[in-house]
Amino acid sequence: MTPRSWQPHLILVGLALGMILVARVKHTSTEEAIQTAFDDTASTDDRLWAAHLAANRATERDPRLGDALVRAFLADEDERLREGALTIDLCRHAVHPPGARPDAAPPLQSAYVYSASGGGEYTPHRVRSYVLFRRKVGGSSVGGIRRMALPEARWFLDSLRGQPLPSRQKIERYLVDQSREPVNLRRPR
Amino acid sequence: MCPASPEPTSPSGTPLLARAPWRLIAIIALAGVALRGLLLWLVLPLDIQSDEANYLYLALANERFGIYLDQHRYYWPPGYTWLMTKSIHAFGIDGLNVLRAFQVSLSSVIGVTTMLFAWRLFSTRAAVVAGVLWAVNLPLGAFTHLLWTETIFLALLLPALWHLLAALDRADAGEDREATRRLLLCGALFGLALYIKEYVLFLVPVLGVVIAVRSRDTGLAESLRRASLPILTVAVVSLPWTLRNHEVYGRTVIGGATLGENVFIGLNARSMNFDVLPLRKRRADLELPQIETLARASFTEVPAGWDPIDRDGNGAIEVRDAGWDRESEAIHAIDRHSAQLRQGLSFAAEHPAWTVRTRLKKWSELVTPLSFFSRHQAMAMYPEGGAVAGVLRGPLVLLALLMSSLTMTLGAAGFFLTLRGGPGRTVFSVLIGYVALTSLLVAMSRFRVPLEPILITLTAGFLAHGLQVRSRPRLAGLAATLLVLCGLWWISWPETVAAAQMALGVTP
Repeated sequence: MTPRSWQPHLILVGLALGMILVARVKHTSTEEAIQTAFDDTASTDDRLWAAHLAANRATERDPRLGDALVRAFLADEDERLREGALTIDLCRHAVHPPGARPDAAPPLQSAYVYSASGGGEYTPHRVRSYVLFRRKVGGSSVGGIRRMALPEARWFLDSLRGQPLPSRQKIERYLVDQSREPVNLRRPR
Repeated sequence: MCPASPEPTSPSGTPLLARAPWRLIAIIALAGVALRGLLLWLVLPLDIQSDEANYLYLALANERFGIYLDQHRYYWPPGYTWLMTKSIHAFGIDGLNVLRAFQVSLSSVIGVTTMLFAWRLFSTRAAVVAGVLWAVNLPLGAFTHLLWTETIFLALLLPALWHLLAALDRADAGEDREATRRLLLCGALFGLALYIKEYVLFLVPVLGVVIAVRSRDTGLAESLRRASLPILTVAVVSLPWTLRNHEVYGRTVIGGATLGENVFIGLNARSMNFDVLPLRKRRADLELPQIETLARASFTEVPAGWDPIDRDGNGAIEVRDAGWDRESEAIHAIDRHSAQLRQGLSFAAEHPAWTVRTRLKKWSELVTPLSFFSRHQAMAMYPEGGAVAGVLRGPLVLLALLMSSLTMTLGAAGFFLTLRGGPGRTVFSVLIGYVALTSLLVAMSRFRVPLEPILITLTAGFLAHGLQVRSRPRLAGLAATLLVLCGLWWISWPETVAAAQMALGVTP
């Protein structure tokens, strides 16, 4: 390389063009993404990624994503896909009944997370569902309430590693204690 | 005072990095890391708070789905979440402490670069003083055990600035090959910094202009060649993430997108001081009046004719109630940006007097002697019964307050009376100006962090060499700066005192 050479610039431009080319080749169209998200023969990873693309490219709430896809995900046998319905991607497309408050939580996901209680202990899936839905960053309109706390994060990670979770009584006592403190004072920004 | 002695230079006149006092630098850097390691050991087990909890949520979701989710109101760059994900993947919840330990080690880069700046701009003596000031600097040190991005960001930003300075030196000396290499390194580090905070996005082109202006004697083509190199490198390093964002959102997002929410917070009716706002819960527990009631109303009160939006609909106008609301039609942060920017600017234009007085308040919050260390103490976040919340609490909080005040005042003296003209002064001036300008929107002590090592360097120069530049404009500049600084401290004095009392545990 000679001094005052433009060679580094040319290499950088070449690298940039290469990356742009790869991105164009690997591009997924929004319609393809929606098809894949609904395709129950596709892998969970592919469906989650496709839902991520479709949900974030949309410029307005899309009932296909906020209702039909959420129902499809929540009805699937795969726990990971069911949990995928609780993330911010699909929650921001929630379809609310007429008259709902603007900051109301997504109704389908709320119903899923709270109706899952039944009897018995908290399953790993139930713990993860609660954490993913209620501790999300973004506020109540997307289902988030209160910030993540360390015990919940520990349970989440334990649930992924197949380690035992606390008893139902202990988890519920913790959640009740948490809910006693006013939301706007407990964990300010 | 001993005059600043010129450092050994190459035949072409540039400082020889090999002649830097590496042994001294290494010893002091290790001592600083050891102090931070000791502090980390003393503060564990440490709970998480505020954005720390948000990073943890994002890391858990990333661990579960392999996807980086946005934050609805913000879209942060992914770097810190990525590091946290890797850490908890390998070590479980203990990964948070592993990440803290990594930050402690990485702080050595901040210490070394700070000393190198002092060595390059002043002398070996100044480098030693800078090293000692950095080692005991609690406002910076505390970020190594907090799960905020500051330590990692600084460990990229400072070397980037160092390589820029070195490139300017080498270019001045006609060492073009080395200057080119340094500009590439500078750009690569800025590009990586964009993965941590998109804060530097507009700093890079400004520095490009600095390079072009300083190279103007070499002709237009050469100055363009030099100025464009770091900018192009930043673009290439950040391109994978930019392309990923384009694929996911169908829109161009470089780094992250936080402007819209910051405009909502910063150009809106209510004053929010994030060094004191999180103290509300503790003040309620202690039955103390809320800090915002102590603030000087002239700098915080809402605009005349303000028509409030009761955002939680409870009938009471509270601290988070707004003059204008978020753009609710746009479903994510990226699309809300432009609409909220328009709303914020329009609100500011409709209330010019409010805009001016609240901007002074923002600057006042930028230069507050408070820090996230004192905020953590005030919130009683450190383990009860431990040394940091117990016997060491008073001395450490006083040290933190003292360090911030000292580096701002003596740093100003170093800038005006000790630092000579040249590329170092130019780069420092640009960074100081950039931080000051960006803080007009939202400010808090945390936003001063990029300046702390610079202030330490300047303080060290002044302590080591005192008055070096005798000129009336420089003296006038210092007098004006100190006057403004005192005025800004006065604006937020009631909140500062109240928060400091809480941090010290001496509330009335």
